Amino acid sequence: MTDPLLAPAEALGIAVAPEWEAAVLFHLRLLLRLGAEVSEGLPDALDPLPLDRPPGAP
Amino acid sequence: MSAAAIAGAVRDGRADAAGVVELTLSRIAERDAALGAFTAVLADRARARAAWVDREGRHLPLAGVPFAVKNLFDVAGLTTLAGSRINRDLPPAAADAAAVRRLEAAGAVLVGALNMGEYAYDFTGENAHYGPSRNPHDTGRMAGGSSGGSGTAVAGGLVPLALGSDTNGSVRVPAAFCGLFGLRPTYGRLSRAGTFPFVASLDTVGPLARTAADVALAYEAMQGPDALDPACAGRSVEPARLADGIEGLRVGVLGGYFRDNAGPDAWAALERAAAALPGAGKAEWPGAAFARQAAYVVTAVEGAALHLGRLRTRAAEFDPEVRDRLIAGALVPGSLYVAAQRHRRAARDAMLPLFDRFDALLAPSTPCPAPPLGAKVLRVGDEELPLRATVGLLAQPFSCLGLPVAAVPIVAKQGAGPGLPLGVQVVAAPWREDVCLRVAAHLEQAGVARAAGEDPAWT
Repeated sequence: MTDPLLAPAEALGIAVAPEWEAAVLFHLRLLLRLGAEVSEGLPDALDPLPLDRPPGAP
Repeated sequence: MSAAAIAGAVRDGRADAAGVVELTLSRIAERDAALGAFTAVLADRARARAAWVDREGRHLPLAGVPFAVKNLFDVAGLTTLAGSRINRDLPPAAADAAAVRRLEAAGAVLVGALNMGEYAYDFTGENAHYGPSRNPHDTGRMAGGSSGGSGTAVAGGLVPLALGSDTNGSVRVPAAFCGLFGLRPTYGRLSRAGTFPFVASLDTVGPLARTAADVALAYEAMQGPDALDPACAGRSVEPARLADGIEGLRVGVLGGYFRDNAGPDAWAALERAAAALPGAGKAEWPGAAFARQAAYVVTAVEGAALHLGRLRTRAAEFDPEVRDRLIAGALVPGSLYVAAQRHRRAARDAMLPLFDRFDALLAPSTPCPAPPLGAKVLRVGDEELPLRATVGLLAQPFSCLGLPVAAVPIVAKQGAGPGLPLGVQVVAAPWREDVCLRVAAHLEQAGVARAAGEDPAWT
């Protein structure tokens, strides 16, 4: 495993085969970028949507 | 012939459920090898249920209507594959999923289980283990996914009604590519009990059929609270009220993100639909792109968490394209996942006021018609993007907020030849599936929306 971004896989117990690395990194970098963008500018007083609550529920 | 017409014929004694089922089974035997829709056909069960309908259930709203379900729905005695090879090792389901039970209680007859993308993580309908669900309008093209077999089975005339699941567009994309009506209900409206999950925050189940009325019939039959699905709301049955029409409904056409990411054919289909809706105005949802991004992150992380054990021990047995995305999801920091969930709330708070001005919103379902099987890249504007992750980019923003959406197949432009089907989404405020379906029915009555291809006889 050559890229440090993949290091947590070992701690999670996932063995990433060398031939999978490029594709996993592509998807991971995309997710990190998207996640970073949606995390910008959120007000502090904002709870996440509950996992099991419909959006229009009172 | 619609599901409603089949039920009408069985009710009036002009047809028997047993005869409808035999015709269905023979049609599946004749056509499915070329289409790849079914992974299991339940002839004995279907014949037994049809006999019961003929004896005791002719009065029911879906009397004798054959249907099939994406193979992530539990069916008693069948292993719930969820499109995977790994799940073959699970024991057969002990009981039917809630949706299956409710459709059968309404007189419908289950005839089999349907192919799908592995663990519902695709928009293509391709499957590395079971082969692709093929688009009946051009078998070299994708049916769409992940409810690919559901789209193929209905569009191919194998069944008049199928169930799929829709996390990020998995009912709406195959409905668009196969030229069908479909419904993603409000998150929490229909019970998911007895289905193999994908993303707890976003998963819904919904029907695909050849008419808006058939979708409405199935939707009505599946409603009701269910303590076995913690997300299922305790609402009583709310009918679709198609007969109310669209008078007084204010419709907005979503531009911006949806215009920018729609190809010319998809946008032309949207304009044909909008032209049939009197007074349709322009609407903007500036947060749509970020809502899609939040759903994308939530999907990857929750999907990875669900499959973590399998990724540790059986990663090589996944479809490689699913595995790589799930492993990536497992490596996303928790802080970004929680931020994406917080973003969902912000996006909801910012978007829902749009429904003060509009009762329904219109958007294209997909950027383009069905791509060829095996395609890996999708061109959107000037960009080339990974197809499997991108086909749903117009559907995903609504999933992020859990909104109800009807998928509506739009008739090709006159003189443009048969072409490939395309669809539009009709979106409404939470719990207003009736609005989505009334607009869909209006478009159908106006001749702008129609299921693509042959309308098969069932009696």
